[in-house]
Amino acid sequence: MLALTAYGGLQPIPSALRIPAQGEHTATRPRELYDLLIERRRARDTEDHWRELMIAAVAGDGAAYHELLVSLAPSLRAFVTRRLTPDIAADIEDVVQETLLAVHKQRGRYDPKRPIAPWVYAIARYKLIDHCRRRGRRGVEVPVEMMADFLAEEAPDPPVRDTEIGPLLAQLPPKQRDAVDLVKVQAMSVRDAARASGMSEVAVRVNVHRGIRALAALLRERTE
Amino acid sequence: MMKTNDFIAQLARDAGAVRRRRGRGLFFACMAAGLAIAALAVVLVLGVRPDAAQAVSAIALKTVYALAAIAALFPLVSRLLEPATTLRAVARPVFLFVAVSIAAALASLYVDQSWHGLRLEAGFPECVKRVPLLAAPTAILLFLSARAYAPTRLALAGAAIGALSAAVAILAYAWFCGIDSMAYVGVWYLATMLVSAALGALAGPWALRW
Repeated sequence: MLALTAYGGLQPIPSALRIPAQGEHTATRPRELYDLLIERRRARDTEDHWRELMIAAVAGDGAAYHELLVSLAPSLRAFVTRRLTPDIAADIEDVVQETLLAVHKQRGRYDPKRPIAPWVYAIARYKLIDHCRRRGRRGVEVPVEMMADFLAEEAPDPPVRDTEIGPLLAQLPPKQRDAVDLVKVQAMSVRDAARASGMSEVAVRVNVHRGIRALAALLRERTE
Repeated sequence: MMKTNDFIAQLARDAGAVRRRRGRGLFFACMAAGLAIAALAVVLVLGVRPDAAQAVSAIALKTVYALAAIAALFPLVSRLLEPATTLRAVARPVFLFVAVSIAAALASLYVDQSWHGLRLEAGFPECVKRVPLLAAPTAILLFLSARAYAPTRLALAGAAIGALSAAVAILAYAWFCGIDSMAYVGVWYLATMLVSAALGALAGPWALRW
């Protein structure tokens, strides 16, 4: 089984994700779920998600702003963690917070026509260097930004049983359920999905994201 | 230390709509002020060249040269003032300017069939010292105003600001400098910008921290 990766190429799905249900023949939509879970951290999606939130935040939407910061934090933490040696691990949260504060102060200068992830990570990289310089410590490695920087790093997704997706999808709020179903399960383009559901394209994107996040949360509840 | 989640909540709590600040108005104001100081220095200290009335075309040529440099450098400086990772597109005009400057100098030397255009016999060209000095006020103003933005590559930003300041200074210096050969302008004026860029690159990492 193949899945589209963040790099745009086709890659085998990690076998850890594939746990077939025992003695079950699953004619449901396993593949869509795997694609969904793997895809949800695709750089482009993150980018769109952050940008939409940022635009809303600058326009005064406090909830979107909160969501943006909450969504940035783990990505920044991963970015910083990878570049600090373990003995200064205590500084990670400092750098994360300094970066968030800089994003906060500079958000009026963010140009929505330009991608936001490089903007955020450039600030993070700067704050990381600045922090280490101030501390006068060694052991930082800051390579030129690579594609991987635009991806959040999180613990690998827990394995999911094929049959779980249907009921989970049904638990989502209707807008999110429709958006996820149209775009991710039926593989429609965002434009077609917008036409089919009567939502705007932006709303489709946002709802796909929220839906996937909600799905992920539901899955996590199940596994815990 | 405060937990990041609390920190985020606090940031988000009283963050209303923000005015989008995209302008470079402050930057243009600093360039104008720096130019005024450099012009004053040329008039009061160096003295406007006595044959200015006869050298209109030469002064105009140098002015065009400086304006071209400013036009080529401004997008780069502007990009370097924000958190940025890609510079390729904005660096292109700068490379083009350098290439054209050197090509024009070489062409002029070839046409003259002489090295005289470079004034090598006069010793080290004074402009390479004077222009960076004239550029200093502009550079200081630009460095100070740059801190209101968010540059993340400080040495590069410093270099670009240094070169831009030199280009502004050349606008004023054109009224003093009595050497009108194309080769001289194309090589030594370019060198003044490179020297200023090097000084800016040295100053950037400590002068531009925010």
